[in-house]
Amino acid sequence: MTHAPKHPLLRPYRPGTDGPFGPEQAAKLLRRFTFGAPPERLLDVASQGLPRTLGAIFERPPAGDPRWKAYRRLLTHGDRAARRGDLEGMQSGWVVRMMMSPFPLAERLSLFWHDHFATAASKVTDLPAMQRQNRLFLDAGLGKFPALLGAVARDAAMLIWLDGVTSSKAHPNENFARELFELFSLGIGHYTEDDVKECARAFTGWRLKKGRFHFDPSQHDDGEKTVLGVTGPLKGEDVLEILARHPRCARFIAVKLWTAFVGPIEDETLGRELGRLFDAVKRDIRSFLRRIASSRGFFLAEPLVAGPVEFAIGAIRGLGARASGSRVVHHLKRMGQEPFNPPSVAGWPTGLGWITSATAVARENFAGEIAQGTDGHLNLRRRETPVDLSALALAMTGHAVRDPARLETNADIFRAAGRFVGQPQQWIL
Amino acid sequence: MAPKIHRRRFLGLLGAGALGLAIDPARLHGGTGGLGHPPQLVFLQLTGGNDALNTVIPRKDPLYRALRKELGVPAPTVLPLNEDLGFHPELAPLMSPFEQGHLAVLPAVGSPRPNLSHFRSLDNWHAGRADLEHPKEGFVGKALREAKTTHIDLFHVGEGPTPLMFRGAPRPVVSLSSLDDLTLRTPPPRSPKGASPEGAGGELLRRLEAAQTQARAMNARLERARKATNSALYPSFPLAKRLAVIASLIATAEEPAVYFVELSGFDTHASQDVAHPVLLRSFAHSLAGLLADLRAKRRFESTCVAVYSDFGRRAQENASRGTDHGKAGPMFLAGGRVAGGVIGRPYDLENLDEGDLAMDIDYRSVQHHLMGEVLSLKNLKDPSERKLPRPILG
Repeated sequence: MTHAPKHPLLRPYRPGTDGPFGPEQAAKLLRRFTFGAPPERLLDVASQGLPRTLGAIFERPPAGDPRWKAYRRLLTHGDRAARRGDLEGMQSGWVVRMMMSPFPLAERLSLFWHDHFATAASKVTDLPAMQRQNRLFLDAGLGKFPALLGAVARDAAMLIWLDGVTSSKAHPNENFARELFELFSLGIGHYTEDDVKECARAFTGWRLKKGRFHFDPSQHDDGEKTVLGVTGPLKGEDVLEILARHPRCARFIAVKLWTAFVGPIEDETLGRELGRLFDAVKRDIRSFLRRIASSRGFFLAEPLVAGPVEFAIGAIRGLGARASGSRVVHHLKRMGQEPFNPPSVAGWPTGLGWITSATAVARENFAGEIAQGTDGHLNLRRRETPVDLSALALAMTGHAVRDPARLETNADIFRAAGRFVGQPQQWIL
Repeated sequence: MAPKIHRRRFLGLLGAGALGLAIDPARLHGGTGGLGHPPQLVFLQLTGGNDALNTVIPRKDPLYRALRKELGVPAPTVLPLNEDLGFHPELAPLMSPFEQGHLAVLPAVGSPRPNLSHFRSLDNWHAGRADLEHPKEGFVGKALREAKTTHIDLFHVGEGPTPLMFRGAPRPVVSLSSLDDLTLRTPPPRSPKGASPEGAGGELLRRLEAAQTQARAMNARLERARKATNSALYPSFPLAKRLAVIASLIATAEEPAVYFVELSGFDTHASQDVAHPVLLRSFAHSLAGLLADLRAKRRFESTCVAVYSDFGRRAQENASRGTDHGKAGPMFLAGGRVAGGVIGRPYDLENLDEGDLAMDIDYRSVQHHLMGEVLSLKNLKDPSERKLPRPILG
């Protein structure tokens, strides 16, 4: 990794010179990349400095870590729920995974890609296919982007969602081709209507057989096509290959990742530099995220509105607690983010778009149930260890409070946490 | 034209407070004529791109049969609107408002510079522009700002983000899916003792706090709206439930208001023969329910419902028994003061625009008339290129 970005915001953050590295900086990293962490872990990580905090976020715990066993069981629960057609079971299975994952970065990215390649169970209806797509985002969401894009193009849920399954040689369906360019790889303005039409021809024959990807040569249009300036008897693979090398694709994905984890981009040069950085790390998502997480831009960034999943999972992880998955899903629906059912192929809202009168009430109602703790519908469970109010505030909101109080019982801790969760300070990351 | 005295001001004259009334507002406004109610404008978006040719059907045109071999609606089942056009049979509940002259049908509304992307097309529609990237302001927000109006309520009845059309408005938008959505059920403890986290937030935090305050304030009005709900007039479709919420809000309105509600699923690339009639049925029965409820609530005269979609669809059906993204498509306007009938020319299937219906009326002209005629806003500019041939209200 010899690429040294020129943009000042992309230079590595040097604690001491560029600013401090303490509990608040560690909290910002953990809350944005891993749905937060309980107070004791946050303080422990922060005391070890920036490089080790990054390690704790970006390196997968070893396979021998005992926490993996319970987590893997949750994955099987989700698969079983899908097979019996139980969408709520799948949703709550995923939510509990996010609460308990030993490597929450991977779950945070599975959420990011679910939003980017937004596919809804309401149309797909094949729940095992939705569950397999979720596993794809979990397993490949930190790898190389071209590989992820290729796998998504062959994904059964996506083929159903964007009508690839009904596209034929005589009548190519343009739905997937259009969104592939507009939403998944390039962004509007970087392809033409003809590119969409020809791309749809290249993907003909990409069908399903017994619910799995299958190439049907009899339905493939092997005629000559021109897509994004390349001419030939192009196949779907060729279009994906063009995108894998397309500079605008690197920039589009890099900017989207930056926007989600760091903040909005006003500056053209920053966008260009981010694209170059993504190429320099060979479009490897984890390497890219690690670079932006350690950049000056990250630590200087303004607050971001937490989406409902980040907000709810963040509250529960920040407490070091567990909660009823199905009850969390109940609240997520009211806050506007039902897992496996994004509102459209463009995904969920961002920023202040999350906050409406109804979702503001929903966040307060969630906070009310956090305060009720074990007795409330959320059925919160937590090992009864005392915690300083100030450390709890740091874990829940990213900022400490002056109050030196120590909370001894879980009931007190849940009540205090409910107060934080009901305040808009906890709604931002 | 628009009422000069709104309820709040009138009650002020009577010496009654704005809230905590001892007087039933329905009685004050009882009967026809007399005191008017503040104007109420409802936008109903058929999201996904509603297929024009299978909604308002060119019932005698042989070209329609040729373009729609699989999907064509059989001529005898089409409900005639005039010599050329007819409704899809699932729109039967809308025939009586049409015959009574309270429903206007605009067959081919579109943009002079159409875009076939859902998002770009709807963004442009909401922005009241024809060719803008990343619009920052919606046409309702802009019209309110330019007319310097703050006496208006904006409601988004549904889930998801606040619609772009309201952006830039001098009033916050209230979002809800049902009246219960704005009910604080288990309020968390407030005002923590000395425990407010320090640190940044700034403008973003202030906006979040404003949203929270707005949501809490709505709770009071919801109680009255809940009592005004008459679900018996509605079918069980989710859209109908939302329209019932809107009717309750209209019945308790003290200010002019604009509402946004949507019915999704119109992106019928495949199996449209199955999906589209179901969507039309849900749309027509729900809208008919709203119109009946508004009559019962004596708010039919003060309300106008405007129905539109992302775009129309390709004239030629595709091989998946569906249709792909197209250009112009129909709009509907309904309400007691709407001058009904067909507005604009019938389709010209011989002269398609790259395989799509060509625009007959610019949607910005319809928006302009709605802002001016229904809401009586002043200082509006009409940027449209193909204008409505006549006013929309009678």
